[in-house]
Amino acid sequence: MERLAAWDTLDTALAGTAAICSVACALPGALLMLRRQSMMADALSHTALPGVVFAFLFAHTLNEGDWISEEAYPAVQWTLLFAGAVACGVLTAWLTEAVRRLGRVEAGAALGVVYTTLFALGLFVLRWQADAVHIEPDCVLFGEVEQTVLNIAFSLSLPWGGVQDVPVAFVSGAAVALSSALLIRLFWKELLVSTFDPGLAAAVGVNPRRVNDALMAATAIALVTVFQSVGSILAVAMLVTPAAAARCCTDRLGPLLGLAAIFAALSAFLGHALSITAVPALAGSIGLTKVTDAGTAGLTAFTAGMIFCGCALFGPAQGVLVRRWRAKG
Amino acid sequence: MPPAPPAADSSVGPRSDGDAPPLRVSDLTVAYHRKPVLERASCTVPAGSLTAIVGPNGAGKSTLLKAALGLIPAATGGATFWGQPLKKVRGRVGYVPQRSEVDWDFPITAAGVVEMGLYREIGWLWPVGSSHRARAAEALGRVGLAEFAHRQIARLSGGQQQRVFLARALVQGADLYLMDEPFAGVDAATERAIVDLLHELRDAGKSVLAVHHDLSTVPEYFDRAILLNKTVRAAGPVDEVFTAEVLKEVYGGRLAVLDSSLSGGSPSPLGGAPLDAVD
Repeated sequence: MERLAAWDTLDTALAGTAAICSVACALPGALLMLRRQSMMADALSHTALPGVVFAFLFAHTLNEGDWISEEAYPAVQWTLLFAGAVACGVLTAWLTEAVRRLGRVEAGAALGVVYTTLFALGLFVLRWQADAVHIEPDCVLFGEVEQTVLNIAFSLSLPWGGVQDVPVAFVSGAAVALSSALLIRLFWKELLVSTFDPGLAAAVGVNPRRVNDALMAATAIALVTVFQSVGSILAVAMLVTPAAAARCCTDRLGPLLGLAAIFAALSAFLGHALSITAVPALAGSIGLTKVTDAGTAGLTAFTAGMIFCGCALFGPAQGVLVRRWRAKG
Repeated sequence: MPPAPPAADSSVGPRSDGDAPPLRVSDLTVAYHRKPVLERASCTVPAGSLTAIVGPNGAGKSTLLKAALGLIPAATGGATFWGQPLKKVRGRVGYVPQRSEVDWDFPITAAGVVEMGLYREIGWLWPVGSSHRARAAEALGRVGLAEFAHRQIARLSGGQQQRVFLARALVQGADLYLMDEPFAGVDAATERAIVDLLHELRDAGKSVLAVHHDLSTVPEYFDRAILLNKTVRAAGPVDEVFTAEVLKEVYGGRLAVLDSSLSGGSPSPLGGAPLDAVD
């Protein structure tokens, strides 16, 4: 517990980054869940690989050919990374639909075919080009939240004294989370009608497939951004778990999205707190005194799972107890 | 020639557009995986009429509605609305899908579903305003669900869910309604409410085309009938086409009970023995 009392600005930066990245995933994830496309979360986390690899290769080629200056390189790389993510998100949706139609298989099977193939393609190109280009897929796809605090965007002077460093990953996560929230707010009606009743959507002038493509692209962007900072486990966990927990607590879409975001952020703070208290204590009890800190990302995902269990039992809208009670009369 | 109504006021009230009927389906063929489910079907829905589509299971009844609305692709033929392509008159055509086609666990209230009927009018990006909410509430009142406006849709009965769909079509203020089995699995009170509503719509000069399963109620509920089995076998006023001979032919002798009202002519469809198709 004394470790918790020693919570410092480094912990805040770390947990804050994990929290904002979790929120960035939870928002599109909640929409995926409502559209019964939760498997897409898993699929997109894999198909992002070829997108990232091709983006890196392309940026590298541009750089080699002196098309872009050394200063512009990081910016171009970022832009291409986003473009690659969007392309992969939309491509996954299209290919899945194509395989489903041509192969006449159910949507889940079609998705399974598409995402494993795209992932393998990414892996193949990565191996093949690994010597030519210095790609570090580990840091792109399997980032670690503990390392984000090393890359500081700016520092804030806190009103109660002291200085809070704000990591770059926090800024990019916040940008994605805010733009997701804004887009959802703007296209509220369109998302609602195309999710609930695609037939009516067409009749009121909303193309449900375009909405679907846009959602896939937004999800892929969130994933690629978040992968780099907090890693894939956290990203995939945060797409679906907070939304599922929120669904147990409310029957309204607005509160559901808000609660999903709150649960996501809460999981990150609790997860980090757990990682600096419970884990060293547990490790210490079996003699591993050197362990002082362990996997914030993993524990955040774990905490989200625990929050879901709590909500599934006690949630006021769909919780087990409430449903029992309702069934009785 | 029917004058093309300006798009801006296309949702306001019924109107006559010369001779073109609200719906004309011509030569419509639809195939799933190359197996035709509907072959060269042609029919019309005149203005101010209540028309039932009846036919055995798999006759292509829902398919006819969906293909007319462009929700599924047609191999040949198509539909015109008041002599025009659907695109130009979308706001005047209301569609009530089968209840099973949407996810009733979706986190939305009855009022929220009804408001969707106004989305086209509200337009992209604009929020649902208080006047829209008031109209949605009024439409819910018309189908007798005023007190359930803020209830999550999963907690409504099947009949209430069906009435939510009807309210959504009503609020749209359409002139032609295509309904896919509006009476499927509803309670007696809902059935009565829907029938009253249909008659109200007709009296206001609107037209309804509904897929209907219960043959015994066709003469009471509808003015006209389209008998469908892969293609249109008979169409016209109920008393002309809804005869035992025609039904036998369409259903291929698979009718379990023949209602006396059909052969005898005494219209007591609800009191008589149920007339139903067996598969």
